[in-house]
Amino acid sequence: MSKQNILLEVRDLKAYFPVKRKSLREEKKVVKAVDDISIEIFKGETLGIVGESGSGKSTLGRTILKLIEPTSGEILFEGQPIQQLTGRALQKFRNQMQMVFQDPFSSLNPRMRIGDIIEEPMKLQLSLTKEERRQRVKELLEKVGLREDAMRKFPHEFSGGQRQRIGIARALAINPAFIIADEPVSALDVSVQSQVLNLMMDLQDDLGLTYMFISHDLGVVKHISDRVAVMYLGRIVEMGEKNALYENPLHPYTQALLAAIPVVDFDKKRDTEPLKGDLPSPMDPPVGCVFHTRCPKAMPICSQKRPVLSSQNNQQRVACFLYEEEGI
Amino acid sequence: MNEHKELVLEVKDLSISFDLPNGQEAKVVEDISFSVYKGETLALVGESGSGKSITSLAVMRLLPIPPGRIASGTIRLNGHDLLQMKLKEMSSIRGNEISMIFQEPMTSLDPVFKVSSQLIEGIRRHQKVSKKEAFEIALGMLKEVGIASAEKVMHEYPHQLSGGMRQRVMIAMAMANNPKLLIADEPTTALDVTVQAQILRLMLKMKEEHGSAILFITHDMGVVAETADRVMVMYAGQIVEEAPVKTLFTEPKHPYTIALLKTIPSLDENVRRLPSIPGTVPSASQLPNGCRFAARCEHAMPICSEKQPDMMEFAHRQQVRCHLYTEKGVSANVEAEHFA
Repeated sequence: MSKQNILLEVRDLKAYFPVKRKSLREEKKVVKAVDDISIEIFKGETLGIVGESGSGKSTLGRTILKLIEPTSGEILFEGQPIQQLTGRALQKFRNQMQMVFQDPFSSLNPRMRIGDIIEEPMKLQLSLTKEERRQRVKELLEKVGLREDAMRKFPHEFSGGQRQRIGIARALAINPAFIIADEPVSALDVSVQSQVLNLMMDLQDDLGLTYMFISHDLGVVKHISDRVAVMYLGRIVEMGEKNALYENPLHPYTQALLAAIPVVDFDKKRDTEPLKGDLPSPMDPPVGCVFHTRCPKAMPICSQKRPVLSSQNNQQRVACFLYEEEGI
Repeated sequence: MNEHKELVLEVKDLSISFDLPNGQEAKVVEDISFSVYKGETLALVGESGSGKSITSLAVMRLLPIPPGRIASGTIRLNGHDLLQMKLKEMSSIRGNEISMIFQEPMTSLDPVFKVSSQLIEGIRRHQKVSKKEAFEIALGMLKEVGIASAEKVMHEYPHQLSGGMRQRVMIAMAMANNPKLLIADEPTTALDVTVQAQILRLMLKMKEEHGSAILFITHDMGVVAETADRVMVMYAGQIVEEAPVKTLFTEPKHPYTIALLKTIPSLDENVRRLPSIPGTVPSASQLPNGCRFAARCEHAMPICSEKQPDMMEFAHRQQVRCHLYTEKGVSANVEAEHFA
């Protein structure tokens, strides 16, 4: 896999947020939304990021886009570190990346016409004449399966699925190489959800796009991704090729997550106990392995040391003492 | 059909309309009939705009009237017509004989009162007990819904609790008076899968122990398969198919049900393209004359856009509203196509 071209590499990325103290005597606290994450994304692939709410998956996406300043760590785009980029160079880098948001109702300006919404990023970032821009808007609308007359309409005239298509057209406006989609289908009905997923996959084939697909829905992530990373409390606990990960989950959290999905199967009734308790507060995450407070297989070492993400086989990496010498 | 079972809720020919500001009328729910029996979970499935939540609000008599209007029909709880009841009688039934759990537990709990006072108020409203006794009942309920630190939670405000915890408090509140009917409107949609699994298991336990009838509203077919005994599929204000849960998943008959089941990304199979249903649900103010699904249906025939199909009965108490099954011969084709 390493022979493939790496488009984006993230090294030891951390994004911490200070928490307001109630009094001066109180200890200074930080929320570790993204804690020591290293990933690489290959050209043309889809990397799925799954996790429950509060796991830091959206913060990870935003930090990569430089919408949130990372606390430490490196982000390399096509081998180039992006931290130091400013002005023109930053602009050029931003041209390569776009984001599709979850809520198609609040991410489109209700007072702008669809044509203007899609045209706006081109004005900022491409040197095209007005004519050319209009032409491109038409092409984009056609590409995402909307009629040309949509240009003159306002967002409220469209359904959720159509609005998400508009959001995708806007993201494609400046020809990006990399798109971060943050829960793009979570607000949509299932029948419409599959339309948008199919569209995203078709566009990937046509334009050679690379996706980072963030979602809490394990079924959707499996469908669209090539590789999947599972996040828990700001850390990646397991990462791997999707079929390997779904068929043979190694980390107890991944196992619990997969077992918790309601399935349509009347022959085998589920007998595994659901995971107990809730996600601990990211303000004081457990010492050691972040999952040990809810882990059915926790050992003494889990509350003392933090496991590192290490390769188990060609296809999977896992951060768990069950698979380390020390643990056994 | 169900002589041995006790009928709890019976809805007959219920139609609900909304009067729009421009003088038009939106038929949000049309002619729906269903029954829920004791100790049974009936799932009501449909996409947004199908009328499933409006139906449940009508049962609770919580519809905003106006602009809403119950155009026709009866809703009977243990034989008493809820629609004929005075508001005072109704409010003694709400929270007592019928309880409801909503999707977003934060908006349905009062942010300025502690969990204890909200639970105690609900209990003392319907049971003649002292504050102290009510406190004990409430504490017991919290323990029953699996809250380990029940004493602590009693003295906390809703914002101090996590989403799963709040939904547990809501369930405790709903079950505190042993309701005969529990309406759950997307109770786990806002929750994470691991918490959802806990809540679903809890609701199953409540049903088994208290024998309540549950009307479970959801759009998630996986959740339906795990919780329901019978399923009703709604589309644009109508019931298009009703069947026992196993029959619905193994022998779906309505093209909408079939399509809905196919669009769910499966964890076991690898398909490159998901089948999708083209188009969107028609708006309630501009409903087509014929079958409401005709415009999106891959089996649509000329008759579908002219005449509304009627509900037809099949074996195993399966009911379907589709023209494909009105003429013999055609139906065999469809099945062969889908189950080959």
